Amino acid sequence: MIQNRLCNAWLSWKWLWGSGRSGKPHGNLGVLALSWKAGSRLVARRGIGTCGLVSMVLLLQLGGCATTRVEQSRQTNAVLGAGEAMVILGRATYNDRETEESFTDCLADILRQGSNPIRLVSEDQFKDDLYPWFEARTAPTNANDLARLFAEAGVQAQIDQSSIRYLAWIEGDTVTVDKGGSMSCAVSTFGGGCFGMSYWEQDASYEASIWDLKNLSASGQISADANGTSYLAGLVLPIPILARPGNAACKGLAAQLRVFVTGVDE
Amino acid sequence: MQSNRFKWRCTRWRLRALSLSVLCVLLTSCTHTLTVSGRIPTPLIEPLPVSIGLIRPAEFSTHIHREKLPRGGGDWTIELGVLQNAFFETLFDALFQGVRPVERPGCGAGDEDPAAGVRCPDGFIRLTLLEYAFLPPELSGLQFFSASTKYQVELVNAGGMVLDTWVVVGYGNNEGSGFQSTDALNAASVEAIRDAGARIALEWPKQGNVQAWLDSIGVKNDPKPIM
Repeated sequence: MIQNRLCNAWLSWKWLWGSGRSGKPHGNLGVLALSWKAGSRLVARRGIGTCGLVSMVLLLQLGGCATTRVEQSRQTNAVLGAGEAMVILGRATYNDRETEESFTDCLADILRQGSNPIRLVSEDQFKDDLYPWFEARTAPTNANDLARLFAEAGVQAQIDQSSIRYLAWIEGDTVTVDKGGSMSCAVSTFGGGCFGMSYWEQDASYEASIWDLKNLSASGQISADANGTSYLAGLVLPIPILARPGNAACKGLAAQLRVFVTGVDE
Repeated sequence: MQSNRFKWRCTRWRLRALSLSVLCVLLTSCTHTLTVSGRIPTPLIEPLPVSIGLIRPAEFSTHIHREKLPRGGGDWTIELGVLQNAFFETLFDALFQGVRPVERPGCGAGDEDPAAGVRCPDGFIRLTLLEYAFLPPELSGLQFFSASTKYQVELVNAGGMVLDTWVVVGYGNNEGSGFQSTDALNAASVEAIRDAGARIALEWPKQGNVQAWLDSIGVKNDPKPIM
């Protein structure tokens, strides 16, 4: 089991503030990048004072972090061979708890990159090549069905042609488990602003079931759970402090999936 | 003084232009037009060793779904015909050894030419779109667009007798709302057509009456269970 605490890169955020990259203040409001060092300099130069500084630090400490827990169970020790590929499929459940397409896209993006990239066959390409065997209602639901599927005309040949070794089924979703607070914004001809504070806690829970298409068996499962609370503080300007547990779960699951199928860490 | 008045006039014109733009955006956002398009996969299935005549109503390839949604959902015009027609042509071409588009069941004297290898089809399939429906997130309360297609597949012999009637519903959904609404509905509609197609390819040959028909024309079909 791996437990990790992932915080968003607040310091590299584009921040609504009247300042340039150098931290030199301007009169107009603008969307500009403010680095941590530049921010510190700005605070010092503008004389925001101890109160402002404490508020800023408190805001940074309040949230923006997601705690991720990754667990793995493995049935075989086989890894991807040279030229072999993997395909990531989101399991369709036809309800509001269906795995988001953005999550499988996130996994694919991470696994394709890095110093140890994995050759991935896209979900669309795979489903088209093997139509109608991997549609939502016709796809095999467990690895025991693989042998029967591979006995169908052309299926084995198509998998061999694409050199697909592993199939990872992704199930799970991100849900908001709690929310509260209130914030109101107003705009007039003289300007506008937001006041108040709202928060929402999200829980992301995903599982990858990995099937070995060479041995026609299940290779193992990886689960990733992440939760975090996001805040939206209205201090004239709305300041979001986002935890993004879905993103944290994606990173955790992708990292473990890479180790699982290649045997090598990033 | 004059400079201030000029500035105020400029500001007023800008405000008018802005209001007009906002009004235009609001008006166009109430009408949605979509021509459903997507990839058409070639099914990876072993064709049944029979020839069929494929009958589709004239409106099958030109079907346009028009609907005004309640609660400010807007007017929708969805052109489904072109894609579904191309999709099912590809599907039936893969499902049977021989497919010929025909207008009605039966063969006349001019329909057969044994010398050229053209013979009367073993059977006829009449494919009809009974219903297309969709639901945006605003009405369903879910985070995605849903679409469904209901098709009727009729198996007819050369004498025009209906041997089997099978209704299949395809379903699809796709995340998306707001400015991505037409893209999301397109993806959901394509998925619904694919779902119906997959069921026709895998489930239709296993229907009892279809099995009996295949037996009657001497075709051995071993129905395998679906995953």
